[in-house]
Amino acid sequence: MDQSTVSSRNPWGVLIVLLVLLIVSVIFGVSLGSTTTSPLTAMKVLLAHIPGLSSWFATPDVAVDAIIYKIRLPRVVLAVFVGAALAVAGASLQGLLRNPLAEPYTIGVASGAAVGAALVIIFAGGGLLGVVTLPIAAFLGALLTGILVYRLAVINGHLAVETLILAGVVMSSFMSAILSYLLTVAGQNLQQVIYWLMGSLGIRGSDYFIYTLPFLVGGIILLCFFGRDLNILTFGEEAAGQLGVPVERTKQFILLLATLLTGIAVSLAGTIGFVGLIVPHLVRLTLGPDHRVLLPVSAVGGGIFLIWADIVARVAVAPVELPVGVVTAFLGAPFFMYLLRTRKSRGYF
Amino acid sequence: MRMNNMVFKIHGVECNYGSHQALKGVNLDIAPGSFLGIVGPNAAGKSTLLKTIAATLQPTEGVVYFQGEDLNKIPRRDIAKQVAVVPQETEVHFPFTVMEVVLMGRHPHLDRFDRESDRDFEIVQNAMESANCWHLKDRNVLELSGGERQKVILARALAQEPRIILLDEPVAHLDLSAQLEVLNLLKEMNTSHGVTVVGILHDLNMAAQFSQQLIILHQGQIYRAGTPEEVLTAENIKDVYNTDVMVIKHPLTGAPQIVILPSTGECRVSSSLPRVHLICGGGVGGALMGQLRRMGCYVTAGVVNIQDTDWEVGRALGIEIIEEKPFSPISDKSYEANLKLALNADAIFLLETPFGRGNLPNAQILETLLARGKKCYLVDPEHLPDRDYTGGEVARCVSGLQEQGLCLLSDQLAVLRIVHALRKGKGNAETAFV
Repeated sequence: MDQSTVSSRNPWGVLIVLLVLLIVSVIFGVSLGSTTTSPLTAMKVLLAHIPGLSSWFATPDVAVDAIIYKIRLPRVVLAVFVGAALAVAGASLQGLLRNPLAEPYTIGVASGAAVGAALVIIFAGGGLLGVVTLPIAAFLGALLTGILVYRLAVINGHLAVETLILAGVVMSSFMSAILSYLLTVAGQNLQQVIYWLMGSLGIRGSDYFIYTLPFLVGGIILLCFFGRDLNILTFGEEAAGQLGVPVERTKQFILLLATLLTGIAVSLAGTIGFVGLIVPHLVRLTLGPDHRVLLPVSAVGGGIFLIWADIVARVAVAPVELPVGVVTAFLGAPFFMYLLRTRKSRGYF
Repeated sequence: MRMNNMVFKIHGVECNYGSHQALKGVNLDIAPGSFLGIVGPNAAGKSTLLKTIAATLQPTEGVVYFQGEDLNKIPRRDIAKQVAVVPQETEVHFPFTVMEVVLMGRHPHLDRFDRESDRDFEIVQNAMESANCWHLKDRNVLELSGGERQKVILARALAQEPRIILLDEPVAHLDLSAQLEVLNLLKEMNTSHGVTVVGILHDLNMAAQFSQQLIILHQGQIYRAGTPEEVLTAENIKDVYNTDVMVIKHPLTGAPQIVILPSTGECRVSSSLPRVHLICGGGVGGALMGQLRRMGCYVTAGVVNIQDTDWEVGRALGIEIIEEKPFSPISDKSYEANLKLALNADAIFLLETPFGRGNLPNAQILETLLARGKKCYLVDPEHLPDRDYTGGEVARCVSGLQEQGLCLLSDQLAVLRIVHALRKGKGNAETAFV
C-alpha cells in the first residue's frame, strides 16, 4: 500500500525547516538587543568558539565577543530549552486532558511551580541551598497543583473540558493569593521575586541551568516516545484502555513529566504563559494532531518562539527590558480568546 | 461444555455505582465462536455487563475469567490483542484523519519504538474496506456524521485483528441499510473467521435475526438466556418491557420477529357499543380486530385455523376465538361453537376471507344466523368470485340472503361506520347502506 496516502503532511521536512529556522533565530537572538551587532558578525563570533574552527575566524572585538558569547548566548540557549519544555508540556497536557485549551499556565500548574520557587527564593536565598532546592520546589509545587486541578475537574470519573479550565482558574487565583502573601513578607528579596514572577530569561542565569539540562532534555525526549499513547488517550480513557494502553500508569507518567518540565522551566525563567498554548496549536494547524509529530516539532517551535519573544522583550522599549512573560501574554491572551471563539462556533479545533 | 473451553466465564458478577446496584449477580458463559446478543430495557445493566467483560469496569463482586484467567490480572495490551470494543459513542477532540484513527487499532501489536509497517497498513486497509469506510480515509474524523464515525470505530476495532468483538449498541445511530451492513459484516466475521461476537442490540428483531444466543437482562440480572426462539416470547417481552407484542416467524429466516401491537391495556369495553363477531381467516381480520378493540368493542371471532395470522393477532389481543386445527376443514364441533358465539353478538361480519372447501361452513353459517334474527353483514361482495375457490358454492350460498336481511358492505371502513351507528340509543342502523 502506498503510505503517502496516509496524509499529505510531511513532518520530517517541516522539522528540518524548523531546525534551520532555529539556528537563524539563535543568530538573531545573539545579535539583536540594546546594542545591535550584525547577524554576520554574530555568526562569526559563535563559529569562532567552536573547537577546531577558531583559527578560521579572528575574534573581532573583545567587548562584542563578551556581549554575544558570555551574555546573550546563555540567555538564548535558556530561551530555547525553556520554550521547548513549555511547548512540549502544553502539547502533552492538551492530549492527556483531551482539552485543546490546557497548558501549564491555564491549568494553574505554572502558578503552583511559582509558589514553590518563591518559597525558596524568599526563605532560602540564592546560596547553594537555593540552587539545589529551587527546581525541586518548583516541580513539587507544579505537581501538587496538577493533581489538585485534576481531582477538582473529574466528576464521576469523567474529565469535563470546561471544568478543567475552571479548576485551573480557581487554583491559579489561590496560588496567586499565596504568592501575594509571600511577597508582602518577602522583605529584601521583593524586587527580585516580582520581576522573576513576570517571567524573565535574564535573572536566573547559567548558574544552575546546566544541572537542570539533563532533566529538561530527558523529559522532552521521554514525552516524545509517548506520542502514540497520547493519540489514543485523546479518545477517552475507556477507549484507550480497550486499545491496550495501561491508562492509569501512562496518565501518571505523562502528568509527572509535564509537571517536571513546567517546574524546571518556571524555576529557570519564572511564569511565562501561553507558550504551551500557541506553539502546539500552530503545529497542529499545519501538521495535524498526531502527537508523534506534534511533540518534537513543538519542542523546536517552542524554542524559536521564545527566542523571538525575548528579542521583542529586549528591543521594544530599549534600553529598558520587558519581562518576556509580558510579551507572551500580549500574544497569548488574544490567541486564547480566538481559540475559545472558534471552539464555540466549530465545536473543535 | 467445560469451563476452560469458554472465552469468557462471568461468575457471580455484581457492580455498584455508589448505592445503585447495576448488576446483581450475573453468571454467564460465552463459548468461542458464538454470536451472543444482549437485550433488555433501559437501565437493565447491559452496558455495565459489557464493560466488565471488556475489563473497562472492575466488578464489585465476582470474577470475569478470560480464557480461564482472571481478566483484571491480564495486562491491557494482551487483552487488546484479542478483544476489540466498539462503544456506543466515541468522544473526539482533535482533528485526526480517519486513516490515523484506524491505525490506532494496531497499537496493541506495536512496541513503543515501532512505527507501523506495510503489513499494518495492509491490515488497516482491509479493515476499512470491510467496514466500508476506505473512501473516508483522508477525511477529518471530527467532520464525519455519527454513522460514518461509527464505521470508522468499527474499522479500528477490526484493525486490532480481534478474536472477540464486544459491541455496545453499535448500530443505534445508523440508518437501516448501514445497520444491516454492520451486522452482516459481524455475522460474516463470526461464521467464516470464527470471531466471537458479543453485542448489546437495541432492536429485538435484529437481535433475533443475527444472534445465535440471546440473553435478556432485566434489573441487573439475566432474565432469560437461550436461543432467540426460546428467549423472545410475547410473555417474556411483556414481563420485561411491559409491552404487548406479537411474536411471529420471519418468513425467510424463521427467526422470531416482534410485531408491536396497538396498546389495548387501558381500553375498557364500552357497554354502549355493540358486541361484534367476526368471521374471518387468512389474515383479513387482524387489523379490524385491533381497531374494534381500541374503539371499546367486545369482539369475538371464528372459525379460524390455528396459526393463521388472524388467530395469532386475536390471541395476542386476548380475543375469544373459535379455532380449528391447522389446515383442517371446519368440523361440526367448531361450527356449532362458532354459531353459539355468534348468536351472542349484536352484529356479525363476514370479512374478505378466501373460501375453499374447508371453510365453506363459515359462509353457510350466515343463513342460520339470519334465520335466528341476527344482523349479518358481508364485506366486499363485489370481489367474492375472486376469492371463491369452491367453484361458486359460496356465491350460491349467499345469493338470496339479501331478502332475509343480509347487508352488503364495500369495505372494512364501512364495518367501523356500522359499528359506530349501532351504538345503543342511536336508533336502528339496519337500513344503513354503505
